[in-house]
Amino acid sequence: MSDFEERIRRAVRDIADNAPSGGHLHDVIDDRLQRHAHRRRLTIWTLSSIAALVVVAVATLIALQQAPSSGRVSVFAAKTTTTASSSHVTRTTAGPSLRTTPTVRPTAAIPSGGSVIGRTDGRVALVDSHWNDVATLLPAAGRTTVGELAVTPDTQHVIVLRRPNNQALAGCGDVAVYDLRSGASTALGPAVSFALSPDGHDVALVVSGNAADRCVGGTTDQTQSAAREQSFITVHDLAAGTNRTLTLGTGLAGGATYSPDGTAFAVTLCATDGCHAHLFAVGRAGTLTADVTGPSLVIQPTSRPLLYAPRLAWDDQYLLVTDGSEVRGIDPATGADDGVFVTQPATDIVTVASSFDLVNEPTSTAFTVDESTLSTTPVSTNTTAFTVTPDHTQVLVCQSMSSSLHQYMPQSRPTTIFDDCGAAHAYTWFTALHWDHWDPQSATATGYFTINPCTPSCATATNLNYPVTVALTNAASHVGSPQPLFSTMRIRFNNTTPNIPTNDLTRTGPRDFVQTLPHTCRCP
Amino acid sequence: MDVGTGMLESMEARAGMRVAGPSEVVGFGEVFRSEHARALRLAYVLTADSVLAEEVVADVFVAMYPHWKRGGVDDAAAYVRRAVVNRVNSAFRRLAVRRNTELWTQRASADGADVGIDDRDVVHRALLALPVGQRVAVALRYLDDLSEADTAEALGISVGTVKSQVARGLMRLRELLEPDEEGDAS
Repeated sequence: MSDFEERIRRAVRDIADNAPSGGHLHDVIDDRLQRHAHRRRLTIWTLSSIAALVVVAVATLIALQQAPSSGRVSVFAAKTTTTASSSHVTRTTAGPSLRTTPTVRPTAAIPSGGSVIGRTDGRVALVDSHWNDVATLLPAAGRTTVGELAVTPDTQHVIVLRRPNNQALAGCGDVAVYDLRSGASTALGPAVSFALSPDGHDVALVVSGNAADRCVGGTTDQTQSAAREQSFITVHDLAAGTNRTLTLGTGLAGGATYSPDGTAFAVTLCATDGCHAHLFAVGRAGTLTADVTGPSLVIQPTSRPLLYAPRLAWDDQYLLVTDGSEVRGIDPATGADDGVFVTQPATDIVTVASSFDLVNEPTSTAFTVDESTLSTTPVSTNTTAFTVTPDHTQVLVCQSMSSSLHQYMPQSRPTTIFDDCGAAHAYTWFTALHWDHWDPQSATATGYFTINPCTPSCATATNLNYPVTVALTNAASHVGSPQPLFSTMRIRFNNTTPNIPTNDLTRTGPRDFVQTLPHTCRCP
Repeated sequence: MDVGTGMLESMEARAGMRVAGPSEVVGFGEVFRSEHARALRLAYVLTADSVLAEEVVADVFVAMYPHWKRGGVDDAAAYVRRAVVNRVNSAFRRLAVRRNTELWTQRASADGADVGIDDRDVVHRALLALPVGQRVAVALRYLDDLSEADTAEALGISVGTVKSQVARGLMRLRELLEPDEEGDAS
């Protein structure tokens, strides 16, 4: 070996001696393997869920076939029990035994990578991973995304709400019914959301706007002005092709929900004084009976968790929960709340099952869902009210910083508060807030200050979490709010103070910060 | 503390995977303990970036684990070595990493006299200026004294290619490190 080679050899080894020790590598590897395993478990869970959905659909079909030809059809006559845990909803059905049905070849090409959402007589309805195609029976429509979807109990029809791509999660769209046998589609009209009656007889469209056919909810600012719009329900009789319209009142409507027996229809109205739930009787004919909210069922605004429907799985395999305005990441294994995702493209959403709508469970069991842990608690239908005493002092928080969805909402004990858009479009917000106390004068919580550094892009960046203690003080009256609102937020970083500049704050200084609420509520 | 054993136990229990038997636990723990330092040294020589080197090695072991469980890893040292090289190559395909390295080497050149910089740094910068293939070949040959045959196996190339890559790498290094002597020679 020449002197020069010996020099290189010696230098290379000196360089290597300066390599990092890798003392924490085992923790890094451990963490990554854990995440891989989560993906694996959720995949299994999703497949099991889809299988359960298919079983329920088939059982429903059989029940329909065995039902009398006239009179009301009890679709969910099959005795079904449901149990829930923090990470799973498991259903066992003791209905009519399955029987072999004649097999018919699918009439449409089946896209690869799709998820089965319904199947009957060999016909298969599929969605692709971006929710755009349901076999060829539901052709993709340009610049729109399937935001909500339901399959009739006979699995012959699919009701689809398509929204523009840039507001796929909430806002106005067009509802149509697709016949899976013929591929024909029938437009029902615009809506912010819809609900399919449990027997598949009716579809209720919820519209917020100037009239039942002029939907504006979600397409303009969902702030004070939009909250003054009128809202309507239009119930379409799918068999007869008729519809009836009911004026709900002032406010943005959402959370459309049929009762399990299909005789009542619940919806929330978010007006300038907050969100309130209303219940309506839905008869088969005649006029709708408005707002029968009473002792039979009361859905308080603070029972908002009931409106959550865990139904989405992100590509990193977190279970997502949405109430129409938020998409929240929940670790399906631990229930840990990873905050609200607003920067992810909506087209990343995969997998859904309306069967996991905990409100619409076709059973005699309902659940309350804890927002922070996703733990579920069964509630007997004999319970006359889900009564929660409202907190009298609230905080006006920004619920989303999306340019199309930004909105303020007075809340008590919010688990998430959006903070600001900072330099280079970094997003910051507070997540997993756990309130140690909340009284009319002050409130304190622990949680995380989360940063999406938007590097290399907001969609692919890894969120950074910094433990914080948050204190709210200075309750004051607020124009437009019947309740006092906290106006000062003090933030203490418990460990590391993030070094990230934002528009209105430089967080490189002391460990404590004081901010005036509410925060900026729109990102460019 | 037995880092490797603890790590694997943690992996198995928390990841919900099949619980490995004692021999498996010790086995992968041993693999980790025996190979991770060597892998880090190689990754650091090739990248000059501590964070990236650790990232690469973590990726290697995470990807290796399922293969190892299925019995698909006969020679752990060779597997890890090749995986590190492949992942470094992948990383260098990304513009940001390449640019970072270029800036690093440009800065070295801009420093000019390299005052206060020892031979290790000078060689490292010169090494980073080599094309990736030559850099990897030189590093493997001189870091662990791999034979040309072993280097060829680690890189999945022929022995002849290894010889030419090393020779060209050394020639280029000599040009960078001993420019006056090159000039004198010519």
